[in-house]
Amino acid sequence: MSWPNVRLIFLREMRDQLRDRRTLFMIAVLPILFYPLLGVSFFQIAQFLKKHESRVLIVGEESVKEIPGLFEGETFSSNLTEQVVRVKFRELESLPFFRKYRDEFVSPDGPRPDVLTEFKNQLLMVMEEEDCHAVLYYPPGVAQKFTNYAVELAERRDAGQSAPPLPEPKIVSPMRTDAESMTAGLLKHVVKKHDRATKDSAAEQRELDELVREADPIVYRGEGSERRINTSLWSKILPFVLMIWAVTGAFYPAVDLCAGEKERGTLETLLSSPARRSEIVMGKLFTVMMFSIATAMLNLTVMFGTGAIVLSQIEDLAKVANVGPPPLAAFAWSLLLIVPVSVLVSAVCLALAALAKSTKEGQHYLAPVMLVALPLTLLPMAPQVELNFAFSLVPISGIVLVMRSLLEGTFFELWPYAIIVAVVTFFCCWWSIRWAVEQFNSESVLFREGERWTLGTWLRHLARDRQDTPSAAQALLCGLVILIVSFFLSVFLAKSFEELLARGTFADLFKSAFISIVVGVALPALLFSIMLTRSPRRTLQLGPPTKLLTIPVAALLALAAIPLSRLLLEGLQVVLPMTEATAQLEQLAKLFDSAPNVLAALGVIALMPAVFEELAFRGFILSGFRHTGHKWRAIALSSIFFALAHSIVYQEINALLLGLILGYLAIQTGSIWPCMTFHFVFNASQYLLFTNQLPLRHYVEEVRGEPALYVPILLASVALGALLFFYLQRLPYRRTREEDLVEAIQRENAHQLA
Amino acid sequence: MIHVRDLTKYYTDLERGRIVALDGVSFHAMEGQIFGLLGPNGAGKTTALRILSTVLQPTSGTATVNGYDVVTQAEQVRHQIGFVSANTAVYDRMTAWEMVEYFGRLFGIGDEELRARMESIFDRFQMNEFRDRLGAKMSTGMKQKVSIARAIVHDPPVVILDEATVGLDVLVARTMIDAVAELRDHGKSIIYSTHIMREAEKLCDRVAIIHHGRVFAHGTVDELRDKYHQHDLEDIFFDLISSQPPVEIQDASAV
Repeated sequence: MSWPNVRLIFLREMRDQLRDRRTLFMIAVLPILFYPLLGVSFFQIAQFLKKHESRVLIVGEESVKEIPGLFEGETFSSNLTEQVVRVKFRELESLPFFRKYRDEFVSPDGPRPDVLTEFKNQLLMVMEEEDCHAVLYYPPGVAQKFTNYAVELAERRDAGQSAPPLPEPKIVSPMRTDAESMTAGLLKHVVKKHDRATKDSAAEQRELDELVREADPIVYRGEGSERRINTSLWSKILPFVLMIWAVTGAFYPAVDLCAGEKERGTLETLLSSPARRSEIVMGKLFTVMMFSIATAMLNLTVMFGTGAIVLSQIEDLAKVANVGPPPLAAFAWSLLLIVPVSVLVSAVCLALAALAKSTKEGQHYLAPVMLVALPLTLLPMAPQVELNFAFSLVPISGIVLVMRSLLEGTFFELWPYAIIVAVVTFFCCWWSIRWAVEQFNSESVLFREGERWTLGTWLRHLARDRQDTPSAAQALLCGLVILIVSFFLSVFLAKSFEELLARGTFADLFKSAFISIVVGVALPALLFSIMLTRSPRRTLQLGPPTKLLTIPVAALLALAAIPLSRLLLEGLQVVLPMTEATAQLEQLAKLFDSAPNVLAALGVIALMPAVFEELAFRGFILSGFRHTGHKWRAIALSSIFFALAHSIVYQEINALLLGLILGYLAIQTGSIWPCMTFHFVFNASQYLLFTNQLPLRHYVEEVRGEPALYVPILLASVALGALLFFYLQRLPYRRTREEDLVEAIQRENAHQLA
Repeated sequence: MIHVRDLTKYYTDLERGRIVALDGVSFHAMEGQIFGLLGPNGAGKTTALRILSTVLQPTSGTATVNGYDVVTQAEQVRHQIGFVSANTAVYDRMTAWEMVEYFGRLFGIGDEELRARMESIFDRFQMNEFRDRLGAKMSTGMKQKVSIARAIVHDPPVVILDEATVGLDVLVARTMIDAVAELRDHGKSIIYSTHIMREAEKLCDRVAIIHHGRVFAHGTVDELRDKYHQHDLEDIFFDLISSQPPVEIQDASAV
């Protein structure tokens, strides 16, 4: 790649975008105006709320006025609220309804429920008369309790009892209008604050701090915990905002730079220039990244600034909602995270935008990007989700979790996962960039004409234009169908699977295995082969291998793989301890004890997977992916699907690695038979070894009291495996047209470099 | 200079299935000559020229430009050619001068040399009056001049012009044609596709008549006149095309 060219393209694209008013408005002007405007309107609303007078009717005994720290003249004490509140008093005795049922009201049990309900209606009527928004009702005797709280607390302590609860005044409000609801909310806040003040002062007076804390730990949160809540709140909001703007900032330039250029006809101009496709993509990618980073940074900064100013101005109101100004650390870490997030998002947006043939079509792709990106940002907000091995593998979510652990101060315990997150993020970035470059190499993407699409023509096209082997897209579809069908089958089988593990018979096991492997895996692949390809035989690689010797070679390779696979499993159980998965594996193994004979067991555990899984994964799916032009990519993709089709985590990782060997076998030998041989021998000998039906324990572990053979056998297996790979690697294999082309171009490039 | 052998290109179309855009096309163009590719709309001219400019890849067959293969040595090929077609537009948000300069730099021309060359091109095509005008505000003729300037700024030995005069008024088209003739006189090899026979008669040293993705006749204009006993190229063209049976070249089963 020529970096001067990348730089040249980057500078041109930047200038081009900066000359575009729409992009600039969307990306720079909007956020600069938006947050301050939002802040100003917030501020205005808050002002209005403050100026707006809330009128509260206090109903209670005369002594209510004397409750310490509650009132200052005709309003609440200024410690409790800064809002403008006018307070009116109404004595209980002045209400005829109260006088009528006074006995019930003053009894220790209080009034009957129907009387209380009627009383509340009466209160609301009085509230209307007095033109108020809410009623704060102090039942008889409550005022006294407040006044005497400190004394009572001391007595209780002396008697060795816990702190007494504070009496609760009742808030009565019809909540029909905003003013009424707001006044009710305000009253809640005031009551809570007054409670706390009463306890504080009682504790101060009587030095009963301990007792009070014990009595009401929730109200008595320390200052530190509030800060923590605020930090955790912002550490959820900031990544969300960051994501939205990183995507928005990347998306519009990406669409303009790809779909827009196609539409305006300048893309072909650029493609016929000496700039390579990879240089064009990198130049554009840097531009998109620049905008993504700048937009996200600008938004975060302006939002942070506005948030800090506005929230400190309306502190009083913000406290009601438990929001404080964003902590500086959260902001600083978000700024750091912008870069990896933006790179990832930019590359994905660029590749997608390259797919679109017009700006209009490109804009339709924004929703799917958001639909994928936002759940990944929101996932870490779910309770119980924290940085661990599994979540650090999820792109984007991992980054957000790292940020959260940094803010919550748990990073130093969890830093090893940060390395995994970095690796995953790096891989995703690399892969998205590769994908974008490929989009620019694909004629069908670059020169897509607008076609009229109808279901009929499309189906006819599928039938009429099918090729000998499936396309990569069809392989992908087949893989997804297998996963989806398997998922629903597993839901359907799950109950019986658990039952099966608990007390199933061998016949049940056979049935369950048959349904999941034959119906779930093989059937979709076979149907796809028949319907979508001209030559199912070539697709499924049913022909004999180029050399028959490769069949025994595959069997030997399987034998060599067993000690290594066992070592891997044991290592995994140490690194990734999962009791459930281990237990499931063991239960499953036990089930085979009920097999009528060895052959039946081998049929289920070895023959069935060997035949049917190979047809799907090394047959249809691998054949399709080979049209991407890269042998190892096809192998890796088919093996990912192979792994995902397994249900227990250890099996998945094992399958991923075996899938690589099987895929390689399939391509080098040009046939499915060596793969089936490998798969059969591998599964069969695993079974025979672990049920002790073969006296070969040395093969997988050190046997106590016998000569130490395990390590030599392990080393010998590695050597044998290497030798067999060397043999396979020298076999001539049949390449697809795409693979030929890629190789020719690579040869030419290498030749030039030389 | 340019050797095209047995070039075939298939597309897959949703409605019609496999479409043969080029069906074994071969032709050769020499240095210092203008080679005309004549054919009606949809004959396959643009596909052939896109393959030569490495923007598309052939399904089969080979093409070399100045000895470089268009598939495996695409990058070198792009250094050898200047490509102008109806689809190679100019950037809206770039001035004429910036546009030509940008491509000059992509070709790796040094600052001083680039400046000198650009001045001479801007003078020759009388582009100085709009050198600082943005692409969006240029007339069709101005844009076409910028395109040509962009295509020859690196002084390529081969210039490929695909329907370069479409949409131009008589005056601008005339300037274009003169410019093309001048390029030939500078020893360039030029491939010129058009469906306007007058232009071909006036300009081209050799022509190939292409229809339905196949070459029906090729040679100098005089050779064609002798062979088909007609004086007017347009008549020859019309007779040739209408004498062909109306074959629909779309054979889904053939690879």
